[in-house]
Amino acid sequence: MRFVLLSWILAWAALAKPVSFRRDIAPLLRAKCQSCHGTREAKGDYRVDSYAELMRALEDEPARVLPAKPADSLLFKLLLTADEDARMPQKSAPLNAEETRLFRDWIAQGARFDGENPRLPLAQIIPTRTHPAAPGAYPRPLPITALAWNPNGTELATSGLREVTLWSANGKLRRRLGGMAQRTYALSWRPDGKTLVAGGGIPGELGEARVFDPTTGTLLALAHQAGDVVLDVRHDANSTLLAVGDADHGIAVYNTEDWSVRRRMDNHAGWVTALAFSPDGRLLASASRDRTAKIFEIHSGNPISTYGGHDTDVFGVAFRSDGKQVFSAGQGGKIHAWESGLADIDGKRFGARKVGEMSGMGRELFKLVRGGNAIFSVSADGRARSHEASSRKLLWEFTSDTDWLLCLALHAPSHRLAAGGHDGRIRIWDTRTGKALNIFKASPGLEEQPAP
Amino acid sequence: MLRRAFIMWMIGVTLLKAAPISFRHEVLPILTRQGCNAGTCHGSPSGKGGFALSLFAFDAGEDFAALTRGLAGRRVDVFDPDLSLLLRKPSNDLSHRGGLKLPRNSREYSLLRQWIAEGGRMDPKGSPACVGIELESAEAHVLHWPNPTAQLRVKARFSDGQVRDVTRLAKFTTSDETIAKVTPDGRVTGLKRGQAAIMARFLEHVSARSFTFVKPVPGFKWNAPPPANFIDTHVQAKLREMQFLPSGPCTDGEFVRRVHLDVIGRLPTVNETRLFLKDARADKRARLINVLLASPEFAPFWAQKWGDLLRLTPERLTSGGAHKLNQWLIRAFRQNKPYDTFVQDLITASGSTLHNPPTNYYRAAADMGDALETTAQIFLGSRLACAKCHNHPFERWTQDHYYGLGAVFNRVERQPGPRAGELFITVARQGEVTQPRTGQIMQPWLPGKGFVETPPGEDRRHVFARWLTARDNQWFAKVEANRLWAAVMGRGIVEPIDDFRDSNPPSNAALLDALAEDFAKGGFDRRRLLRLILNSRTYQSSARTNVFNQDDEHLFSHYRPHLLTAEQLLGAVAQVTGLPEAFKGLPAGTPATALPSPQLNNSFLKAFGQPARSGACACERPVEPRLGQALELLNGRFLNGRLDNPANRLQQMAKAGAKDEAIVVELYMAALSREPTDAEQLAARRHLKSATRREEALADLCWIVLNLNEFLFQH
Repeated sequence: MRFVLLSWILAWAALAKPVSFRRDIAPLLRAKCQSCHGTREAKGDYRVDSYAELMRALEDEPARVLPAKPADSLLFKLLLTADEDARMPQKSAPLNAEETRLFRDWIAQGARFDGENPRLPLAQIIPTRTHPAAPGAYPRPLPITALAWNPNGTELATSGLREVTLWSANGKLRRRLGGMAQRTYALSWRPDGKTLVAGGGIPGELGEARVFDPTTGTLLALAHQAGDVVLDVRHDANSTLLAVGDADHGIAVYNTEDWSVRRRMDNHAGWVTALAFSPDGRLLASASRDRTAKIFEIHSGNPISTYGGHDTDVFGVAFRSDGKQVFSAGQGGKIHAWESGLADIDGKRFGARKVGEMSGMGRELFKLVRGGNAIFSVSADGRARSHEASSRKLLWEFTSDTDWLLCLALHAPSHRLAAGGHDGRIRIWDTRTGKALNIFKASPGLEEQPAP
Repeated sequence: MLRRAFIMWMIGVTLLKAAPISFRHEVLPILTRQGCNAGTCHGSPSGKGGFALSLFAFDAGEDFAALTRGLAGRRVDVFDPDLSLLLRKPSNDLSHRGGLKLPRNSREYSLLRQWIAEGGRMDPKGSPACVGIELESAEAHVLHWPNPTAQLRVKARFSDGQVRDVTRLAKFTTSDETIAKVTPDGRVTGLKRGQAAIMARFLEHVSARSFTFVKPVPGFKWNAPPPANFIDTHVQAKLREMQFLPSGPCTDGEFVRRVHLDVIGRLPTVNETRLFLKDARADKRARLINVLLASPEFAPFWAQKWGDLLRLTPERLTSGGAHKLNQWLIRAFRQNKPYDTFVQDLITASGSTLHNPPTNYYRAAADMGDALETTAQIFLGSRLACAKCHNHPFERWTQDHYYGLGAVFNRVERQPGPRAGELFITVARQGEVTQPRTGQIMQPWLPGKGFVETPPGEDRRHVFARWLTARDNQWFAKVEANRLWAAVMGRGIVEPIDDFRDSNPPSNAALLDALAEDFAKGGFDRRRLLRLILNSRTYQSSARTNVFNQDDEHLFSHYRPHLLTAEQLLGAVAQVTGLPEAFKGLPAGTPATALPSPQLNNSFLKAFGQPARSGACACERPVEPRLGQALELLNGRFLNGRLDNPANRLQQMAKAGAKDEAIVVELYMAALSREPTDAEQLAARRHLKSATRREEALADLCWIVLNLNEFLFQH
């Protein structure tokens, strides 16, 4: 009987369409299995976050996947068993017929890996996805979650719906860069203005950092892939490095030349919400929903300082101009200023010392940016602010009178601060006078009359 | 005709379609119904997986922000509703640690999706709010096999007068899933004979309905002695309905031991037992009850029970305050102070803690929260602490109620007096309570009555105490009647005794109602109510079960054996061995059952669960057996030190030349209030004879009897 079944399966395997691990199996493992069998939690000591882990045999036990033998592979058996307590995925709906067929055929066809490095996380080997096109006109204003001025201050890159939109400073739609996933949460121009990096993804499913030619809209590279959305992208001052933080708890630093990985830092236990390079380019500061902010040394990848004084989610981080102090902010409406014990012993992790705070800014603060000796912030109370970094005194309060402000971009040479709000509007102020320069709705199809 | 109906139907459908999904009245109830905001999931204070909701949706504003603002578009994407994590995760389109909670083809899924597609909006300002719910069922509250089912409907009343059927938006739970189950749509099915309450929740509104499930028991034939009073009538009615057969009466030996322990906390002496057994009068049990209720030992024993509730310890009240309050309690029980006056004295107490002992109530309850939680727990049988931070998970208590009750107590001030350890309890003429979540100033709130205006300058505690102790306050009499019942029956009609709620119904509601009514009518006379209970057949029934009541745990078809309390047991051992325990700072001969406050260094009392009196909760006296108890009985200092002590009652008898037979009889009479059986007598004498050292053999014998369940248990 067993033999008959086996030969039947073999016969089937020969007939079945070839199944690709990268295209067909990896996305299923990511979506259905990895939350319990991954790097953060490995129930039954078993992980499926890479091909190598999936195929690894535990001590004294056969591997969970036996190539060409689906009926003997524990992984496959557990997908089908009628015993609700044993069936995978646990506490969830069973895989549907098409999904179990893919597993069966892939194992029957030899359980092969069709990529280059079987140790890479699944998120990085799943083929680049093509996303649905952006709508011609938006049905309603889209909350603005990312903004970035181009280096000469003539264009403002803005998060769109499945795209990045480029606007003139007076609110005219210049170009649309399509091909993005559902949402964009981070934008960064290379300091020479030649490329624009956009980070975003599909919540809970995919994170991407895409590199565009901003004039033609051509996709130049897919710099980063992760299992959840990318929340920040930052170029260093020399245009040689790109740092990416994602909701998969990861930080990666890439060489912009060939998009090879320079460093990975997986020290955070929650979403990495914001990043900042130190002015000398040696350090990287990060903010996270794990309620900490950290400083990493880029050449070693070692964390050298962890600041835990927030006790709430941290959403923004910036260095002081001398690189010796870090500002971080998040829920709680305060900007904390702190220093690390960096100078002491090489490579050793140190705590951090709070040196002061700026308060009175509503209950939630989002990204921070530094310009000269000023730290700029945006808040859920609908205001943007600038504080002097050294004295921590409030310099300007930029009032928008309406909804939450979610993101900001500074063009230091022309002293202009742009902030994007939940209401879909972009506001631009002069940082020297606090004067409002412009306000416009940045949703294609819903533009208001641009200001003269 | 048909055509007209069709048109009407079309209009109906269009109208239904036109109304957008309500965030408050549809989305939030669905989150509760699917379990999303339960305390074990996203409703826990820190949420789950970075996503926090308020427990059972008590904070609509926070939930709205968490859903629509937390990283714009992540959980709720109004541009691409199907990509909203609110839909993808619980439907298992993406992996979800909480499992499948929202199947894609479910009605709940479509409702949430529609809300998102409509823009994920908050209800417009001024929309009608839900003011209450009614739980209805066409079926009776007693359900019989072969069809023990009922369909519940939940009707919600809105502030604009509208009434809507929200059955499919409510969440149903059962108080006992081994007895009854309930489907998400309110279909109740009995699983076995018994009683269960089904609770429905819609937003912060909770309503419950009790069901009795009756299944014919093969061979059951009702047969019971005539009731001694209305207690038996109610108990028997319930037993007959549920098809349990009451046990017969206990023996005189069992009765004399049981009633002594329950009323004055100690075993009867050998002499008392002999006299009672010999007494041939028909009403000798009623006479003994009267004697015991009038005994001087009655008051200290019952004062001790209240010392537990009032957290009477020298550490908390100073030794002066503790002594005064204990004396006050003893006096109250000795004079049989009516319960309503007793409670008023405590709640409205003002002045010096050394002059006016009840003021120590507010010394133990050192702030507003403590005072209101303690008061609710002791006098209303409600555990309210949950409502401090969020609406109560199982009850209709909301955060507003908590702070409204707080407004009764917030003006109580505590200032040091001139004498050492003295505190003055006074009441300020002003001071308001602010609800921390809404920022609203709270009026005093009285359960069942609502928020009340109080004249400025009036001590709000008086308003509260008048309401509390009113004869028509259904909670007040019930809670104390239940407490008295539990004190002698070993289990409350509502159990735990300080956890009255719709979802924890009384096992015999008619009985509790009748007791409470009698208690109120009788002028809140506690001794009178005790006398009534003690004279019932129910109290006097045997602990031995029959085939038709051995499964009964809650309906009082037979006496429920229970371990003696720590103080009773220590006293019993002291009494049997004739060697009392000396307590530091107390007159020689003070029995453990008259201790004014816990003896912290007594390992025996501790092991058997003497409470430290750190809270007003009845749960502080554990009922589960613990390892320390076995160790104390095996070779604890207290017990062993008494066995071979030459002053031990048996050793003394032996020294005085008593015969083995007489010694064995004395031991059994003292410990168990009965003569040994022939077999027991024979075995004991054989052991004494065969021993080389008689003292040791006597100690062995004593140890054996003191380790019998018959000794350790009230039975």
